Amino acid sequence: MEDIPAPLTNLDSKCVISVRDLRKSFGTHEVLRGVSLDIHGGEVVSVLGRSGGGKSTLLRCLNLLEVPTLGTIEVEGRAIFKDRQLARGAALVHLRRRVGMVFQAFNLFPHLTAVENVVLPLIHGQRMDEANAVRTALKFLDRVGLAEKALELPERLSGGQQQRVAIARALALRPLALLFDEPTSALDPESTGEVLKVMRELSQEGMTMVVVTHEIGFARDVSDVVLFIDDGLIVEQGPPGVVLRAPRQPRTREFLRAVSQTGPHSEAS
Amino acid sequence: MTGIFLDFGPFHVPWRDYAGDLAAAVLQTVEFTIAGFVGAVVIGLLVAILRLAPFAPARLVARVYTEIFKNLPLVTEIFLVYFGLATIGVVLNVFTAGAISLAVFYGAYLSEIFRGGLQGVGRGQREAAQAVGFTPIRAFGLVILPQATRLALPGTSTMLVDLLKGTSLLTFIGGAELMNEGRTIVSNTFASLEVYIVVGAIYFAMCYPLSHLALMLERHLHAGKPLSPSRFRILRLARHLQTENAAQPAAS
Repeated sequence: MEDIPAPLTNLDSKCVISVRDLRKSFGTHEVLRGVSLDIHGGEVVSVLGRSGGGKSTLLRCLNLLEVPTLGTIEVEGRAIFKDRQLARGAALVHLRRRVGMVFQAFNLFPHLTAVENVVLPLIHGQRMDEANAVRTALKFLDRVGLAEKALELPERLSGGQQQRVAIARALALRPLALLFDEPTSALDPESTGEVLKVMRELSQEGMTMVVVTHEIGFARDVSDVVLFIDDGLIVEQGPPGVVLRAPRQPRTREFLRAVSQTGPHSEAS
Repeated sequence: MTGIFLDFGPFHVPWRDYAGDLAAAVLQTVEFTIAGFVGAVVIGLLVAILRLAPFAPARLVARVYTEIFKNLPLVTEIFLVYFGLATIGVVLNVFTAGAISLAVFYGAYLSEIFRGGLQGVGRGQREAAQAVGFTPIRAFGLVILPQATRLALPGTSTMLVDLLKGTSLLTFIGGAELMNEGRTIVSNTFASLEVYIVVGAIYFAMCYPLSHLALMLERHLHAGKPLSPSRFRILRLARHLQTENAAQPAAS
């Protein structure tokens, strides 16, 4: 084994997020009906599926923005949700610092400049001193190509720039994994390209990512695993070459056909 | 007595004799305003938080408070606190009674304004604050409250000006503030027109700049400029490092 060069993404590496039989109901409507999933270090998992199928709910359960109804979620081998018991207080805050989140609507803090959006979590979450925090923040803004926009308020930035600041904010906390909830769905094609480029670079650097997306091109080119979720269940799961080229389920085929016709701008690749 | 002062028609008040008393009365008005407003902000914030609390009894208490004190005349509240409470053994001096009345009355209004501000901060902001690992207290202090403040500022500054004018009602319990001093001068000179014009002008001179100050603060905050020393330091350092970094590639 030693003479084989290490693959870009090491699928044998340890499981960082593990989900078992996860269920979530809103009132009487069961949105997740028993989802099990292992996400390994360095893996990029794309989650596809129709709107309302449960993909965003699954993602939001992973850092407990949504509290599941039943099942187990483990992060780094520690149960954060098990048998209806939820991580609380310090444990919950710790989890949120380990698993970063990027939202569809960016959710930057609008009263603060770009650099402060990145700095404040470092100072108040990581207890970094101000000087270090500012240096770190500028480094991560530079990393997403926005060093010169550091002192702008979010309202002065384009959607793509705001989303890149949001990625910098999440990255600066040095998370174990990043969750992306339809990160490009609110963006025009040019901004989408900017954001996907940053995400590709992250995947090449070995960042563990779970991406809920409609970007089939991104899912095909970047992810190690594609999940297709429908009606609260994982209906198909595997390498993109298999799931996207030769889907077994009729529902998956139907979805892929619909997306390729009317769906979002596929990137040129 | 009247000396070289204007002494024709209704204008014949020896203002120089009253300057010291007037100054003391203005000071008393300012003191009532500050004490009443600070109290009102504290009550307003607490009641607003209760109004948004996850459990119903807390919401009900806050709701009842707001509705009662918003819908009584301020004078009635002043009399209740000063005269009414005294009959059941709670004897308050004029300043305490006055400040409490103002705080209770304007607290009810401010709670509505603050509630609107807190509710105006979107759910996404709360989620983002959680997602970057802020504790609930930090999330409130760093993300929710600053944004709610921006939303609540116009209404709050209107209430502050209204409260300053409302202190004039404390004359009915002998509050020794500006309106009371005006009445004293009138009873000595019988020059109601002249005295109340001057008293009105002094109120205007206090309220008008206050409104403008609030407007300037609004603009300042809207432009994202820092108020806290910590934000100021962070931005200065960021600007410094930014120019330093920008200069480097050109130099090398």
